[in-house]
Amino acid sequence: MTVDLAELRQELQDRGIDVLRLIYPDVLGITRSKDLLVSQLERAAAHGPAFCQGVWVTNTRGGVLDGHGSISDGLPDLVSRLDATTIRTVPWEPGLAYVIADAFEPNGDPSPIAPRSVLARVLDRYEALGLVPVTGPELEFYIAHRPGDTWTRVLNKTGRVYTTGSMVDPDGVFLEMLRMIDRLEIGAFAGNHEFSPSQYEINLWHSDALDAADRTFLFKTGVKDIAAAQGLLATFMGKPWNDEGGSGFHLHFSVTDEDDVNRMHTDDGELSDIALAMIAGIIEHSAALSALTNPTINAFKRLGPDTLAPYRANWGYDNRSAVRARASNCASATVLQIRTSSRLPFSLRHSTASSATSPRHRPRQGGRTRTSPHPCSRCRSRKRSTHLPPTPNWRTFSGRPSSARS
Amino acid sequence: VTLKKDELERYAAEVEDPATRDVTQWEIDEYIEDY
Repeated sequence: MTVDLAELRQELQDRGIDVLRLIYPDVLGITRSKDLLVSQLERAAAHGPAFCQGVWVTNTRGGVLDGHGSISDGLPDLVSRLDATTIRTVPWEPGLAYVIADAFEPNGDPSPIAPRSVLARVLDRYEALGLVPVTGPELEFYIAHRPGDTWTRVLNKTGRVYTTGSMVDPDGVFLEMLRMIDRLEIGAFAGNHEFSPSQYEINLWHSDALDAADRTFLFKTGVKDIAAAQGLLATFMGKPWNDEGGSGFHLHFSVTDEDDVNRMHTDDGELSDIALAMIAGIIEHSAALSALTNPTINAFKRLGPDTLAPYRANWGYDNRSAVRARASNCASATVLQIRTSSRLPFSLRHSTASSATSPRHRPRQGGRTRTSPHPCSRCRSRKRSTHLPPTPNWRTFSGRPSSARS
Repeated sequence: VTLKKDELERYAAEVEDPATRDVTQWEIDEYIEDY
């Protein structure tokens, strides 16, 4: 979308915004950014700003690996282009606004790697099917402090799941965070203390997939920023502690048609063929999906019995132990809930899109989750479900340590 | 895949028992601030 930068500069200045923080997620989901002086917006954002494509292959320790856009390719430019529809005033930093950027190759083609570009390609495939994906993100995170050399939980009293107030937020940090996130205007509507001490959740409304992904990215960026400004750490790491539970990203997922009609159920309240095909696709590809929904070595350590995280390829109605797909059959509110251990939201949507293209597939429900019987006779099999990979595949990836490479 | 392969290689090289289900200090150092 073309934007009149002079007009945008004037609008931002009228709102008291003098710095526009241009942000985009790298492949790991880490927020990369540049602060643009609004007074210079016409020049600074006319053809960029440009970054280096090495950002796509930079690991968390600062190593730049050999891949697309790396040293072997000459470290070419990553050209960003702000999406003015995503601008949000940052309420905890006067004069600052966030804006999400798309990434392009030097020749002007959309980046084949940028998560937002990947999602755009997936949405094109949905459009070809006459479907619109709708997602509702639900993220858990811990708030930690660092009294010494290491980050630790602020609280240690267990048993306070689904609570709010000073008992679980003695310094009011979470309440203030909730208010700030509300004022960021990304569709937050509630928050609470979660199962483990110092673990919290803030709920976001559902919306079309690109908007939901953008809001999820803004949410994570904002929460981490708010905590850091107070000398604290908000971490969405899958399992940061040995003695407490991990944090999940529960993705509520449905599709509508182009008239905004939910296509997940039939007129008589059964799951639709589309919904069944989506479940079948997720189950069929669940092992591969594990690599995307558990994007770190650590995330796999959350998986197991009684963790409320999926470790079997299975599904059920309103069953939090079921794997991958949870179907809630309630007329127009019918959604699947994909319970993941950590987050890589754009790629996850890519995989679920492929499931919608396989309408001949039907899921079987069964295994140890002891879910309610499926109302459809086709799906009453009690065939035991298979385990998902408990770790990344060492045989596939094992090799010489990176330090031994040239 | 490049990033994940690098991550797994560094983990295998630096953690005494890569198959452990316990959260290691390597993971804390690798993930807790960025994720």
